[in-house]
Amino acid sequence: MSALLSARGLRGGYAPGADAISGIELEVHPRQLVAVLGPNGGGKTTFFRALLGELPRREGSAELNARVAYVPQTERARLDFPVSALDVVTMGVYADAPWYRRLGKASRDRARESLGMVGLEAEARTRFGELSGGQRQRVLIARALAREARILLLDEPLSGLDSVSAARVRQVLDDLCAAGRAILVATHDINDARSADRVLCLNHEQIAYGPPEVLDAPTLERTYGGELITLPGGDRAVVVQHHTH
Amino acid sequence: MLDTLTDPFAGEIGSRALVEVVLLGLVCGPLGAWVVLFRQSYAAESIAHAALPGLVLASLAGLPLLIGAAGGLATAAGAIAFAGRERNVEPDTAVAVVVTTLFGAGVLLGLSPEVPARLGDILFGDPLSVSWEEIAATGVLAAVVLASLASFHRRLVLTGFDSQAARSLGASPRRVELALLVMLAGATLVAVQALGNLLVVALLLAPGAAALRLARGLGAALALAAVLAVVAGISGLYASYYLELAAGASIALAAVATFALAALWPSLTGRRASP
Repeated sequence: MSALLSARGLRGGYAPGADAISGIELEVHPRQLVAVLGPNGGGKTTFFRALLGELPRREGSAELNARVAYVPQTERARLDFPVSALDVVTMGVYADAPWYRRLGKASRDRARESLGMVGLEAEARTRFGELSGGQRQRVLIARALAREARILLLDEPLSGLDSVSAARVRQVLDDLCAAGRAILVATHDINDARSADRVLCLNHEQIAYGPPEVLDAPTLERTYGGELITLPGGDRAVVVQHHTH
Repeated sequence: MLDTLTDPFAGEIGSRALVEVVLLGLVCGPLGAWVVLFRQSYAAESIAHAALPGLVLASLAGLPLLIGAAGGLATAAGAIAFAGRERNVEPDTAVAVVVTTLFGAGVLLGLSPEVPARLGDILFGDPLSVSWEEIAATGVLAAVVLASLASFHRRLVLTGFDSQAARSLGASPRRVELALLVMLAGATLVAVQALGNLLVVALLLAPGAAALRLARGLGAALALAAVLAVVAGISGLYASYYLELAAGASIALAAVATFALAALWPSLTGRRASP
């Protein structure tokens, strides 16, 4: 099966002389969920920006063989903005018609269907700011689906969600993967990354890419620049940062 | 009863003022809602005040106030951009320093005995003194601003809702924000001759802020903002006619009253305000 997304030695940055990301080498196939793991400020969102063509590329290449859509963190969106859940999803079909033409029925239907795909058709008229955190995240995913994107880039989608909401979002992502999409999920949670098909460890440069088994202690310590501690029970691990004074 | 409603607009002065405030309401209402949504109220106030020296100089030179306001705004934009290049100066500090400097210079110029129009007329405006030529200019600029709002509508929605994701959906946040400021400058140019340098902000911001409190959806808020701004303009003219008050100040107070009513609306009706 051909890759939907591939990067070869990708390097780029904003400031002259300083790379925000470097050495990115990966292939992502349909039905794969990739966790992009790294510390805050480690270049996860910047990597997404590079894939979206928004980061000046200095070396290497990124090839996308399908439409891509970015799903931001819900905290970035304005909760006081007077738009409903369906209005937000409809933003994903704005490009279907020029500004002087009303959106066609097919586009509006696609927006409504996308909202249905994340299980929120009943909330179509609910104001975005009145939805729960998990529902807002699913609305933003629906907006990406309305764009008919087969590659989804999700920025910390589980951040700040309670366990029930997080499980619902995970289920939506699993369903979308099963339907043939490739999904990249930025996270700083090691335990979230372990449940993905592939893991990209990133701390400005690529530390590792492969199945979750790449998440051994040395790789995690290099990714986070700290020391790995396994909590009692052995099923959770945290990284303790080294501080220099 | 009918006479009470039509008397203020029966004469040439009243009918010209009516056309002017309707045009201003149609453009200032929806634009003001966007300005509030983009949290650019401070920019709106600054842009209006920065036009003062240009207005006074135009008055001294016998030029139309519109040209003076345009010159004032261009000078302010250049000065803000220049001050903003200084690394140690925050953008809002640059705006504050430039605007207060220009406003102070404008007041000094306005106190000169050679200025034919009183400083008060420039600061507070007079919709009863607009000519048909000025109304025509208002109409053209209002049409341009409304057409720009329509053409930028989707990009304004994308950027206002989430500027970080807007680019991936086809909008350039920087361009959209710049376009909004240019539209704001255009509307200020239109409104400043009728409402004056100080009071124009009331019609630009209060109806928009009120509509956003009352309406649930964006389209309804934009339409309601236009209605409230037109109603405020006409109510101000009535108040000016029957209570013998300054027309510009009456319109500004009526505009602010729309916001006060919107703020009180939940307690008056027992309904919850929009978040």
